[in-house]
Amino acid sequence: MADVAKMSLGDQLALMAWLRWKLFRNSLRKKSAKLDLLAYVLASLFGLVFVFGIGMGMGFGAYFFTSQGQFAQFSLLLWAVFAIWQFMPLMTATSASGFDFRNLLRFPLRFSAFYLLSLAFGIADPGVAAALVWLLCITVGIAAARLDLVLPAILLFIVFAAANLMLSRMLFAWLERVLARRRTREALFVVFMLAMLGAQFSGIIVERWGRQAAPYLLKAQPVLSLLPPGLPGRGLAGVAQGDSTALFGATALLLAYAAACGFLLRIRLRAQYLGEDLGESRAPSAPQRTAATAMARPRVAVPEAAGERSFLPPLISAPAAAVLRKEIRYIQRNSAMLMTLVLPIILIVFISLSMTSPRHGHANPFFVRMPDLAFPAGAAYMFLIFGQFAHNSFAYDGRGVQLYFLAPVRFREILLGKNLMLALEVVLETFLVWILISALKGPPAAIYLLGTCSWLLFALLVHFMIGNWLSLQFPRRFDFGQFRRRASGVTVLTGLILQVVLLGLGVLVGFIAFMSGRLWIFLAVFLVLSAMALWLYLASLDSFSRFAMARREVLMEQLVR
Amino acid sequence: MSQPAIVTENLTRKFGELVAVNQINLSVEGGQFFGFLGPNGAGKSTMIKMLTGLLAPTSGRMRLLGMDLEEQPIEVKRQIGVVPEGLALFDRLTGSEFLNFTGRMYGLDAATAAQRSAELLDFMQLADRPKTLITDYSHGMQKKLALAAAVIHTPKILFLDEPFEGVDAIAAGTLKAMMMRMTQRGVTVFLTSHVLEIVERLCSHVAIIHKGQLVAQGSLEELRAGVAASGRLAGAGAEAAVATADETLTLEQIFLAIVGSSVDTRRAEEELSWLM
Repeated sequence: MADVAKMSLGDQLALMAWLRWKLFRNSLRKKSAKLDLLAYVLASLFGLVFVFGIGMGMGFGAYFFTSQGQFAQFSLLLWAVFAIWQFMPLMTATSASGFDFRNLLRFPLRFSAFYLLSLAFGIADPGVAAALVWLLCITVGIAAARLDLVLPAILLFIVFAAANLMLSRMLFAWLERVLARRRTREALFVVFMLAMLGAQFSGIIVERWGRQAAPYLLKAQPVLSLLPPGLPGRGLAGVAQGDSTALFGATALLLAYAAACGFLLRIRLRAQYLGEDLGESRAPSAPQRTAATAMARPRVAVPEAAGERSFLPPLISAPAAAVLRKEIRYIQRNSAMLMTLVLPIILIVFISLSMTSPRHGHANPFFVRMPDLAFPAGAAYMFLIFGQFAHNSFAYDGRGVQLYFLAPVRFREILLGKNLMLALEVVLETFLVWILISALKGPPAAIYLLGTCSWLLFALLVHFMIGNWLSLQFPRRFDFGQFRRRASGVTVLTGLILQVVLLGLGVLVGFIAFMSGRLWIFLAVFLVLSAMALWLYLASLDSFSRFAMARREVLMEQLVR
Repeated sequence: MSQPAIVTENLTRKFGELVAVNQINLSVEGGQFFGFLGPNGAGKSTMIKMLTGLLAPTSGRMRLLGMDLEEQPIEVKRQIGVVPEGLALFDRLTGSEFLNFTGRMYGLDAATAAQRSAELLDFMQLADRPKTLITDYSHGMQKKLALAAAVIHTPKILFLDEPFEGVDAIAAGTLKAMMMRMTQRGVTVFLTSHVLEIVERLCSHVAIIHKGQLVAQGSLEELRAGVAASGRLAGAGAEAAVATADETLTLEQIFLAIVGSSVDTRRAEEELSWLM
């Protein structure tokens, strides 16, 4: 008989809270974590301002709707609460690589404790915290307008929160099958990115097709009011008119939603509790042969695909070409990176559409008056996204970074291969931007095209030099198919300053050239600067080789985990 | 007489206050199958990392095939193959792509790299998954792939950090046979392993590191003789206690006698009385 006393549910939950706290505190012990901590603190401050800012708006909205008796409008506020509660945890789940509470199943944990832990993990999410703050603000707004509605509002919001919690955990539990697999997790990442892009376009969509859609939305209103975000408004309207059955009806329906989601959640958690493994699948081992038969095999024919097409080796060394080829394959297999190739183009279309559509009385937008500046602006915008990729070059290499130090190559070849990859991406994107802008606004004048390309060349070379240093000095590992990719705080700050300086320089020189009426000045200045930067860049590669050897332990410590 | 394949002189590595490897003087002859043993945290992986250029020593010198690793790193690296602790694999390449990449990094031309990649994948029984990414390989398959990558350029010294961990018995047999043939052709194999039976079966020479210091080095016969002569066997635990003078000592008995685990075992028995 095992010598174990039974542990109460409260003790188990307290123990889990202690574990999470210890894991968090220990993660801050490393010196490198201090900068990250600073970044977390700053991000948290911004987050607090965002959450409380919107919360105040919601409070005022609740006050207005209550004092005007427009209780049906509460659904507007509560849909926002609902959206952040359901959407944010899913986003953080696809980026989560930390603690998996299912690991606790190896301990003698009761199912009730496991179920409660799942709910507790659901609450411990920034999105949920924001939603709860907003609900509190809405309650305060109601209280300020009509004190007699506070208690019904609290009751309705508690049940609404319970329904939200159960729904989000249920969705997560069922989506976990999807998220647990690498391929489907990456596919989901693409779906999320497209959804976020769709949200970017929502303004244009509403502006252009909102009127046509309005009648359909009105027709759907009775159905929408029966969904969780619509029910508290119905309940409050009933109470305000002295009809308590509406309050009970709304509460009962919300409870029914919570119960149904809780039941579906229980099915999934029960399966996990009984030992279902949703972890990343491992391929079974291949059929084995004995040593004798393996060694007696005749010479193997080389598959055609295994051979390498030598499209660049004449220009660059074999190791640099090998690194370049590897980088191309990595991009092909990284849905996040593939999305970033498409992202600037989509955003340029979006910006282009929004800036040329006459809104809010601006009938003569900037790029309609200055169409030649559309290409420089588009290219600069594209480079804002791509320039930063030079700043953490080894992010996706993981444990493979060891090979760079084991192989008989100078590190300059590795850096060269990686920089060339980014250069190819920028060339491709610039070409796409040129095609896009030419289609939307007409082709830019040659001087604008050449001038922009010369600025891009200079900016790229500067980014390579600074980026190579940042990549070696502050490396961070990124995982494929994850949203949250935290570069070092220093890297982010340096990158930001660099972008501002380079853009500022471009704008300054461009302004001088434009005002003097000699546009060729811009091209000449950046061609000269590019030539100097190229010389510096080539000279810096050997220094970076030595620097990489000196930093190899840090690189491996950060990336081989 | 030919020069040793590996020579270290007062090799030392410190991590802050901790001396992970302390003044190690090691000599490994060419063509030897050399086992480098030690308890957990003794400094084995640190030693291999220094010998392969993954870690800089705090002080001391290393010469591989007569070349100083600090002064001629590229030339040395051309002659060595390594399966390091982290396997040094690029997870998002297929096995074939990774071997091709490694071959090119080691200076093989494209055709040779492709030919050897195909042969190695076939030999390691990995050829039937041409499109599977390394991240989807099992641990044993990854180990075999890392070993394939370590030999693709026909190295003269092979460093292996726990090469058989996670590899099934059949595959391990294939790998052992391959390594034995390599040593017969003059390749030096330097391996660390916790499985002493494997080391005993494969290695002609052994060194034992304990708390960062080299506590024994030589052929198995030399170590047996040394342990027997020193009288350390009496305190080397229950298994060693049954060994009689005319029986051949196993490597495990030698290891326990040298590293001295008997005191720890007795203390554990006393302290964990509630478990016994």
